[in-house]
Amino acid sequence: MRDTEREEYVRQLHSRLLQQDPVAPSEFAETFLNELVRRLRAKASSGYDETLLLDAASDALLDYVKHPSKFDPSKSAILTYLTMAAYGDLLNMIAKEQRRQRREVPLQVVEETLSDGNNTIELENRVLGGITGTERDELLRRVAETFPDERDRKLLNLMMDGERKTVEYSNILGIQTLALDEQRKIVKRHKDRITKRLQRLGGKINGK
Amino acid sequence: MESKSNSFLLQHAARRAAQDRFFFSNSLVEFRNVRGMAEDQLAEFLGCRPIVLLKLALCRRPDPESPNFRSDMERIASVFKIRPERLVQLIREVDTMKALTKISQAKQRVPEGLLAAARDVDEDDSGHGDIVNPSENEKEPE
Repeated sequence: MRDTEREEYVRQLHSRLLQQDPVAPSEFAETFLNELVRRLRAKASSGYDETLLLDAASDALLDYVKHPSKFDPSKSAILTYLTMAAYGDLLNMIAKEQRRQRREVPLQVVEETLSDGNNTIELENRVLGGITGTERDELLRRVAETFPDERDRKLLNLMMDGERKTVEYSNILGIQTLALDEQRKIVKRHKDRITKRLQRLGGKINGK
Repeated sequence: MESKSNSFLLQHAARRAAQDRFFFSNSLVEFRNVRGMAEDQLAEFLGCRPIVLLKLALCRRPDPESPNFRSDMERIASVFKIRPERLVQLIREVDTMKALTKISQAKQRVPEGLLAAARDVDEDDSGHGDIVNPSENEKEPE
């Protein structure tokens, strides 16, 4: 799409959103979410949690389609506006995450249990067998807190079980209808995200 | 043709949108929960392909109280080639379940409130109030 056509298309979509066309939010997301994520990645540079980045981009876009009158087309281009909004959301999410981490007690249970220096969290007998009931409850509570999403906990369980089959993860993610290559990529992305969260929790999974 | 990574992003956005009743996503998730349906079963129910569910999820949810409800539903149905009567059924069923849940919660709140009041009296009076928590009497001596 050429720039002028695109501008005109944005103007029309914006106007349809203002008129509460029920399909316009979906059309807008389908057309611009990809580009918004790309711009946000470029602006945020590397090192950001991918999930937070996608959350921020999604939230900014959803907020706009819900409240289109907040945006004034005469002041800036829609993608510039959304990238700024998403970046602001991202910074807020990161600050919130950091505040949450500061409030947390260090995970001494795991550190003390593992004497081999691997600093590995494995919810297996190796770890859970050597700690008291209270410590075990605390550790499991921390895991539940780190993975509030039930789907993430299911993925984590599969990882803990050493499951390697992509299809098992795809079923949980609901992406089994996609091509296998795409499924692998998405599953890997989620596994990496979960591993990162585990690392932040205080250790590594299976020595990865 | 739509790229697969775009599907992934739309899926992510649809999940975020599910937390907000403004979006159809919220009703789709509620309906699946009520019916215990998998995604492909929901697609079959609506007579569309699973990928269409993603697009539907990001639509504005028409308000049944609005005079535009019918035209909004027809528009969505016609754009995504979904059976309109099923869309209406979905919205109605979700709204009915929500209303029933609210009634049930309101009924439960009354005795809970009374119990809370009883506990307050008990605590304020340091165990000498008129209302005593029965479990206190069953405690083993320490």
